Amino acid sequence: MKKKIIKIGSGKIKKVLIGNQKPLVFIGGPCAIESKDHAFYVAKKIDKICKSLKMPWIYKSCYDKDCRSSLSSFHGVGIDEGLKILEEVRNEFGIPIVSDFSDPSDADLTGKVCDLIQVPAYLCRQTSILRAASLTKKPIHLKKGQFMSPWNMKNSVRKIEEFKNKNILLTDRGTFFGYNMLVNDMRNFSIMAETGYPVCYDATHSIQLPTSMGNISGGQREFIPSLVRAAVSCGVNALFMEVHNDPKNALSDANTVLDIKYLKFILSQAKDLHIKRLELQRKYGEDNVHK
Amino acid sequence: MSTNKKFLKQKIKNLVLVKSKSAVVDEKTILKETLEKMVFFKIGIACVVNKNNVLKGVITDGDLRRKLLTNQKPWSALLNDDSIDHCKNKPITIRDNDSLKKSIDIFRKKKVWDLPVLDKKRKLLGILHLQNVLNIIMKNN
Repeated sequence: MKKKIIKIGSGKIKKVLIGNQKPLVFIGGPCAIESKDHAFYVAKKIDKICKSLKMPWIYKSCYDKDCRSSLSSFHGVGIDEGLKILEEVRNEFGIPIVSDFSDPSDADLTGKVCDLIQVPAYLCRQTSILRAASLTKKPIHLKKGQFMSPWNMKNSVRKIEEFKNKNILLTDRGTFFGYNMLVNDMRNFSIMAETGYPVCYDATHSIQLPTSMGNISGGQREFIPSLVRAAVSCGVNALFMEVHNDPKNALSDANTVLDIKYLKFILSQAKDLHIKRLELQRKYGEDNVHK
Repeated sequence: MSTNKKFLKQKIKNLVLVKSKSAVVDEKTILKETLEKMVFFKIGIACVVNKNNVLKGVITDGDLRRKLLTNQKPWSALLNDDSIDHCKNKPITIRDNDSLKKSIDIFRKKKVWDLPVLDKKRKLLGILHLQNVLNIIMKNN
């Protein structure tokens, strides 16, 4: 299977290439857009870190959190205000933007602002969502549902291809292990990479304990560094983490977002491991152990 | 020339089980759907073709039996694999302008039940099933 490289970004902003032997890409930001000031604050912090590491990156934040466990949880700033803020972040920092949508009617507007369109994990096999995302003609960040096997993700990939979009990034964000618990099966990256598309590891959602606290989710952030190292060693092309300057008071995913003060510590190791893995690949060749 | 010899010289293209009555799938058809087609047509072979209808391989009942004994993947993963990943790439085939006698020789020597019938560009025309051939022989004797 030929390994594909996808290009994110257009116009004046920096183009980010993901796949094959390209540098590891970071995708991150606050889970939800909280305000323009906060979006800019976090973007500036990440930009500084990624510039110092020479790591390409994509800003991620959502305007509509439609999968919250509770009606009383923060639902988001809404599409109009959210996309306006994302566009301003994009223009200010010259970086690509990714965000998701949960209603097909929001796809068109989202696609006009975002460089990468995210399909939420819970909706990863919804044909109407996949069709709407494909029709934006932007690359698609397709998250593996927590209930999905990695090999079944090919069905969603095929749907997107049928809708004439062949720029896909596949992400593992954990798999249900009984109730209220996710685990990472490190085989998932190789299996999803068999589609030919690049693969990504979502560390902060993988350590989530879904709805473990009654009507909100818990999380075990202490596992993020070791899981990131494992995933990068397995050959992921991109790394996804939601970050916040004050996790305890984050309006969404407060128990899983990574405190931004740890970001450089984790990305530095991830970058070094990625470079080392590529060196090993060049020295010893591709993994080709027989089935 | 006796009647027997005449019928043995007839061309395969007149005897072929047409594609619409055979299990023919494209390379990206998942194994589960290929098996369903084989069951539907009650036939022990599926032909895998590319978008130009060129034969890329076959999957037979025998291949599936061997797969049963060696497969280590979860069944759900195996059934979701592309058919091309599990087919025999260089199957025994026959040309449309070959004779019935040649097909009988192949059936006997190679111990196969079905032969994909190809034109000169390796495009699939259909299947020649041993049972069809036996019916023809019985009618002519």
